[in-house]
Amino acid sequence: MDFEPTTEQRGVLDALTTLLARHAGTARARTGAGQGYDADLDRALREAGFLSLFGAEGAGPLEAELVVEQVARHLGSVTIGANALVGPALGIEADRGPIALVANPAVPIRYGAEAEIALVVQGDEAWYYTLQPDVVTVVESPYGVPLARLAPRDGHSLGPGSSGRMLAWWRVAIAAEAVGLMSGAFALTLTHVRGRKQNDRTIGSYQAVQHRLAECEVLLDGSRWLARQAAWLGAPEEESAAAAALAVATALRLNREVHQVTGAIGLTREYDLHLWTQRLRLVTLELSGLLGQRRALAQARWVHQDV
Amino acid sequence: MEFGWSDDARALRRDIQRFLDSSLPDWWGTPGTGLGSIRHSEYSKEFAPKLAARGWLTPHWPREYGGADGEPWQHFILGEELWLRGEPRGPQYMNVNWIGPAIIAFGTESQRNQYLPRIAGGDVLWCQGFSEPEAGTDLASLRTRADRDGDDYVINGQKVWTSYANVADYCFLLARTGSTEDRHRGISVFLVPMDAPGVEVREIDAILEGHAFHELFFTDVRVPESARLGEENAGWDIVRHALAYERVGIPRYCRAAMQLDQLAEWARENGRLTDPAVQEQMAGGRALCEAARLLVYRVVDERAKNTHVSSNVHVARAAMVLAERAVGDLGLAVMGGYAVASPIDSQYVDSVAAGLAAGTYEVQLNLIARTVLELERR
Amino acid sequence: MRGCFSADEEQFRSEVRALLEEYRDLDGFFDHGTDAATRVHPLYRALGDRGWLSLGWPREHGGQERSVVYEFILWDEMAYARAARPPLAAGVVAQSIIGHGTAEQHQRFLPSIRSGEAEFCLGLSEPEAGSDLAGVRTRAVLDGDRYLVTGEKVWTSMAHAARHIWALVRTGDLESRTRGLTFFLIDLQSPGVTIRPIPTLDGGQLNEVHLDGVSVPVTDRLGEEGDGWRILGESLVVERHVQFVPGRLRRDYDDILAWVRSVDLVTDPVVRARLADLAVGVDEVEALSVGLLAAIESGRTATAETAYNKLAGSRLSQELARAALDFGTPEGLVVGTPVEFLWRQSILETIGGGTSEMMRNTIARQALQLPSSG
Ligand SMILES: Cc1cc2nc3c(=O)[nH]c(=O)nc-3n(C[C@H](O)[C@H](O)[C@H](O)COP(=O)(O)OP(=O)(O)OC[C@H]3O[C@@H](n4cnc5c(N)ncnc54)[C@H](O)[C@@H]3O)c2cc1C
Ligand SMILES: Cc1cc2nc3c(=O)[nH]c(=O)nc-3n(C[C@H](O)[C@H](O)[C@H](O)COP(=O)(O)OP(=O)(O)OC[C@H]3O[C@@H](n4cnc5c(N)ncnc54)[C@H](O)[C@@H]3O)c2cc1C
Repeated sequence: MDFEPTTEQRGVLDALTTLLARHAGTARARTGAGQGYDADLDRALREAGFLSLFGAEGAGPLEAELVVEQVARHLGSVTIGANALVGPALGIEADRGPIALVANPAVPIRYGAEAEIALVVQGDEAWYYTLQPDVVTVVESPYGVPLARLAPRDGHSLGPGSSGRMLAWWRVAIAAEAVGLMSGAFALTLTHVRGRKQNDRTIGSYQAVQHRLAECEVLLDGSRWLARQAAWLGAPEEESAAAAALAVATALRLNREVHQVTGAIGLTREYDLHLWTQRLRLVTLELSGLLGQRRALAQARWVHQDV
Repeated sequence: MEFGWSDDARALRRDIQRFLDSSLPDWWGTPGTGLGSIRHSEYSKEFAPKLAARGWLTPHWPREYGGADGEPWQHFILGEELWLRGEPRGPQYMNVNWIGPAIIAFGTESQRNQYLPRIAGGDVLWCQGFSEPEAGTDLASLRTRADRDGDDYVINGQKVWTSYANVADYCFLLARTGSTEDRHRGISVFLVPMDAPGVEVREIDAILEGHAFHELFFTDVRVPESARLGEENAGWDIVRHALAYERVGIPRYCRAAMQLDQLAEWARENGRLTDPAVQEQMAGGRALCEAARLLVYRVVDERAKNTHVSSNVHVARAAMVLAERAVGDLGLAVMGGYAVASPIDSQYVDSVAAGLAAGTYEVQLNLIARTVLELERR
Repeated sequence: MRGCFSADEEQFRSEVRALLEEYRDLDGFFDHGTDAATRVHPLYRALGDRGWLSLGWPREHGGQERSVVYEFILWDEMAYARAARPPLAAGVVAQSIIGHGTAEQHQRFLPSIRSGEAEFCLGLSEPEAGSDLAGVRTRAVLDGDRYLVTGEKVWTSMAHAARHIWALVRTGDLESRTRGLTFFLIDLQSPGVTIRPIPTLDGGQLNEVHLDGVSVPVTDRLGEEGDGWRILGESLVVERHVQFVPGRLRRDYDDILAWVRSVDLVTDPVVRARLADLAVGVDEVEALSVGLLAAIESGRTATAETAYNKLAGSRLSQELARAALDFGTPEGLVVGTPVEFLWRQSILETIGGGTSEMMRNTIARQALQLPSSG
């Protein structure tokens, strides 16, 4: 057990922060690059090796997970969870292009139109598809992230049991992205309540506000460590589901609270808060949302154990 | 950053489990015999010496005081395994977690020699005399006085909610040596024998299953100066130091997690485990227990590295309370009438107490807001 | 709410429903985009024709002096139909003009408000004054028979569609807090007024209203200088019975239930348990509304009842939206679909019209008699 980053991990994160300062952030999330798929960021991450940490010498899934957290926190508009965690776990090389993850074809997919590959859960198997434009139906999106439905054709199976692996890593990716997005939204909210005064007091000095935010902090911190643990352990079914279940439950709560305590300004598109919270909502809905994550955890812990 | 256990740690867990399987008595776990009951406390004097003999009572203490200079993890693993089985160390978990360490850190050589061997031997019981009728959360307003009289102190006042006072040999007592206006700067710690003339214990009838609360009255109790721990009026630092670890001293999440597993057994036998509503609730509780576990581990990790206590301890404590409450609530929701007089029902009562003892839940949130989130106190 | 209303009141309800039949396709309840005001205008006119915008006004001002129950029924049905919310003008603005206006102001404003023609917006909040309205900074300085008004109002709903703003303005110095505030009825077409839209998450808009040396005749001041805080206090209770009507929740619930049935989720135990909770929640808010009406009828200010109603209602609206998402409706992701919209819209409800924290503060002080922490 060690909760401190190693020197190597610090190095990776510092380098990533520098890269993200140039290729991500709130201003960029509002421009063309940040509204669609950010090909420049994708290229920069790929070239610097951040998408290949999963199987790299001296690094591994935990390092990849840390990258996903950071990219999400800085609003990077790329398929970071799919490309840094899920793809590599299924043996897909980093240079194959953006990956879309599909479990239910009825649900619109993040970056469905921009992805080059789709990984699709089909029963016990994960299937690999190279996407052609004619299988894509774009869906209008208010989330700051493009959406599309996919009906992919002509793929191949990645083998029996591969869907279990895909789902487990997908859950880790959901947890990691949610943690990153929550961290960004929470940091902005704290700045706001520390500075904003009403009745000659900062609103952050009201206990009603403090206690909600303190509970959010507890849940967010817990989600963060569960996500990291799940990655480090190699995404066992149970730990991955636990990470996603807590992160998604926390996201629903935190989203509510950050909007509540920022007041009317937080509801406007001019203020940055929605850049995180709108993306966060999308992440929390994946894989059947909170119920889906919790059922997966219950199954893993108490049902699958004895079959 | 890594989340694995060393081979030593794993082996230790196995050894403790085996030891517990073979040593706990037949009546163990029957209703009314849990932590805080007389039978439980008395049994600890049989059990703790056996732990001591294996080097498992105070492994984290320095060698010179009966320890093994072990790292905190070892002691913590012990705590988890013991708590899972209902904490057979009884009140002595306090001895080894914080009373002994406070005496090591703040005691004189003669105090160390007087108290530590018995604690490390496992046959002495202590109680904690902090709370008073007018001083709960706001401990700095406590009124029990210790006045100098020649070479002695004379103690007068009242303590309340004192667990284990009925069986304790000593009280770790907070009393006022300065003026009331001095608040926390006028408080000292005394190590008071419970059989001193003028000490009186009265039980308070409470809803905590088996666990007894007490009132503790001090009338002209005379103790020598050598009963004072640390400098006069410097008691507050000792308490802060001691309680920092006590907040995570009981690994409550692991028992909550065990209760959930047992609930799952019950649900399976009664055909309820496949009910998605049951699964959803239970998973929510499980995730919180796991989060609490890691947040507590982070504190142990900090302690293992540099004994520096960060505000993460409040985050960990609050997470444990959330986890315990969730399990208590959902257990009752899932079992309905079958929960009556079941372990889940005690889990519920325990979770109510967890939000109060060792600094209330609200106090933890206040501290998180101020120290972690850096929000203004008004 | 069956059985709570008299035969006359039920009769009125059927008249409202009959009218709504003609406006079936009108969706003006939520501020779906920026032309909502134009869309609901014909309905307001129709209500005006029937005298339904002045149900509770005194007869001398063209009202019907009916009890608050009628207004409640009207707007509850409107909410269930998602047709329209109460127009701002006919409620607080009209009541404050009736109570504090001059005879000339009565003549100038009340007829067009009654008929549904006049549109007002509420200019209370400012960048530095949200929950704390005593911190309002927009200033009016008397200059002969006119005031020069300078400052900024923000989060102003409907300013883009209104002709007048009912504005809380400082006439005393800044330290005067609640004492130095005055209301003005400012014509938004005056020189010096700029309105800037602020897009919100629900796809609608709020506005910033900049007032730059706007010249306002003394005759547009409501009441005396310094009356502002008292008028504000009175006005906050005027609309308490229609501020959060349960019809909208009943409608959200019915829609979710219909959707759950349509996708065969109705047998899922988790979904059933949640629906049961939500159904109880809707009943609860209805019961709170009836309690609130009774309190108002008995002549009380009903501050705590109003806060219960708003708090419970706005929270349930969020729970309804969240349940819909949790049930896994893929629609939840698609812009413009009811579920997606419900969610975005519901997060506004616990802030606008007094935040939930302020409601809880009110309940703690007024109902539970807890001391204020200052
Ligand atoms: C099972 C159990 C065992 C115990 N054993 C012992 C023992 O052995 N020895 C001992 O000395 N004590 C013991 N206690 C007492 C415990 O430490 C006190 O209950 C605790 O400190 C709270 O004090 P109080 O009960 O007086 O509550 P109060 O201080 O009166 O608090 C009541 C409520 O008000 C809230 N509150 C108070 N201040 C604030 C604030 N600033 N901000 C927000 N909320 C606030 C609290 O959070 C709480 O919810 C035990 C308690 C329990 C439940
Ligand atoms: C959809 C919508 C429409 C609106 N329309 C109008 C309009 O037409 N005209 C108009 O004038 N205004 C309008 N408003 C503004 C609304 O009245 C304010 O948003 C509201 O009063 C809160 O002010 P604020 O946004 O500045 O938040 P703040 O006052 O900054 O509050 C931020 C947070 O601090 C908390 N807080 C503040 N004080 C306390 C306290 N004492 N105790 C505990 N917590 C506290 C709040 O509850 C909130 O959670 C609208 C708002 C919305 C969302």
